Amino acid sequence: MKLEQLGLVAIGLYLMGLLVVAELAHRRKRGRGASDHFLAGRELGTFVLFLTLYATAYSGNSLLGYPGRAYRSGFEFVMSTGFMLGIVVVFHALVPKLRPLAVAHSFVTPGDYLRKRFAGEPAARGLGIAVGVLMTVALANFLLAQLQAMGEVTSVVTGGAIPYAWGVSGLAAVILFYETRGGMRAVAWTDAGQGLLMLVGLGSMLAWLLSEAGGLEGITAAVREERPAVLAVPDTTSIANWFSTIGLLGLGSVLYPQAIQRIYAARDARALQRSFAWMSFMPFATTLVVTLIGIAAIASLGEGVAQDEVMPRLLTRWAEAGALSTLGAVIVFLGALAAIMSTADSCLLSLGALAARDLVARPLDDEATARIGKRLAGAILLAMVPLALQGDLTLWRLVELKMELLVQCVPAFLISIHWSGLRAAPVLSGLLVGTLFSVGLTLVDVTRCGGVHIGMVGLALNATIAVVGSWVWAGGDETRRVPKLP
Amino acid sequence: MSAGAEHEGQGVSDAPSGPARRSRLRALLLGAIGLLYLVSVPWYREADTLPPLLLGLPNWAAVAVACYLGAACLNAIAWWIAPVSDSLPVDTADEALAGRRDDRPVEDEA
Repeated sequence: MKLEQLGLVAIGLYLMGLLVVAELAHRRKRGRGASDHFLAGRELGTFVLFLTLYATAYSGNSLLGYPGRAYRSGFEFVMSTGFMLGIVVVFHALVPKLRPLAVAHSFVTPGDYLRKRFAGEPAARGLGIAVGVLMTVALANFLLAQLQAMGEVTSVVTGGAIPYAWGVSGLAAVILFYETRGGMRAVAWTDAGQGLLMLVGLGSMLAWLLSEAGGLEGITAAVREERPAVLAVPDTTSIANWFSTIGLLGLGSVLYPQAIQRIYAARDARALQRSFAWMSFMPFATTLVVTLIGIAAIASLGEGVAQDEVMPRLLTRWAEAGALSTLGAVIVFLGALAAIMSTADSCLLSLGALAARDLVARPLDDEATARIGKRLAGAILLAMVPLALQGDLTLWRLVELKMELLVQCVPAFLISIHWSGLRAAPVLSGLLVGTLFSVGLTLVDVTRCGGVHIGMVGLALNATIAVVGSWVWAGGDETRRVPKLP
Repeated sequence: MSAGAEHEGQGVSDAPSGPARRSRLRALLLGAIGLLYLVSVPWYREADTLPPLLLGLPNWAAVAVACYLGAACLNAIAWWIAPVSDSLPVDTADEALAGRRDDRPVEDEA
């Protein structure tokens, strides 16, 4: 059986499996409120929580964008292992403080924390809306990247039998169905299966590449022949970019609304601790593997391949090597599709919660909140599909744009949870200045300053305004100091 | 003083308690992770030179991967002993009881 035929059958079976899971999750629902729909009734145990964190963190960008990036940058992209691990490290600054608050006050969205933290301050409402808008835009951006990747993968794996446009719109409809039917429970269960698929697929592909090239040394020797410059020690600008990328993705990814919601959705603190402990090792099973795959492609595909084409081209070649390889290539394609869909479904679920709770300001656990959340998520998805059909940005650029927005929320969460003196008005001012600065310069094509991402420069500006502003505010009037947050 | 006596609060030793020891260890682990991150980026090497291979990789890339592997192991331990709880600390709970802060669900303030 050819790659295209096997691919078509595998995608069909996979989608049917997703629909079955959605139905099972729907039957397990214990209520119709927002916390049951958006947080699976707060009952995710270690195994499912770990796999859903994994499948959500590692997206279509990780599986399709990162090999292309490694193909372009070479060994320097081992930084990706560092920044993915950095996310799990930065969570230390958030989880121990946020988890007890989330349990005590029944948080559903990131905005719930802000409402509690800055309660009674005049700028609190504005800050909540600003953070909600930033997170919604960043998530919609992320969702757009996943839609693009879905269309790409289905088109390649079926040899064009399912065209790009059908892949985007058809899979978007499947996600919308199982997300609205089963909520977070369906998303987490499908994430668990999707996470396992990703691990098996990537492991098989790395084994193939290593055996074909004669091990890691063989790959490096072949790369040295093709493009020796990528073995050289990076220059100063690249070093600055390395540090900046670790900072940008480490800080920004912690503020993914869907990641924050998984902190709320855990069954207990122990499940969270264990899941994050296991997550420490996942960059080696995923990011390092895709980096090596991208580096191997330098020798294997030669020069001149577009960044987002690297992984599909490698898989198509692998599939030509024999029946077993065809099966392996289909598993990797399916793993990639699983990674993309698992991230897209989490984005969509969080978008629904954010829009209903933080932007429309619906009550916390109202049945109507869940219903409005589903409708708003559907509307956003419908708006994203036409944009995805244009698809003129590379996946990597989409990741960076999203992070430059998310990272502006750092003072509102990571500083405010540790420093009770931080006030809403200066945080809001800093957020607006940091965002306008980052977005403005990005729009005029200034994306880095000496290798440092503009978003990180914007964050420095933002944090300075938030901290100094809060100091000045409290210094002027002692009665303005707020008591420590319980 | 025996560990048991210390645990029961019968002694006046300055030795840190279990949670304090874990907190200190966690801070040490996080500090070590920071150092490993600093070493992982080859800022201290001469740029644009072609280095020898180590474990099949250019040596600076192999050092980076080794640092991240070390950081992952330390981070896993740090998570295992992290002070994550499902309930608020006693002092803040007292504050809530005393009416200095409320413990209403956040919806009431929306």
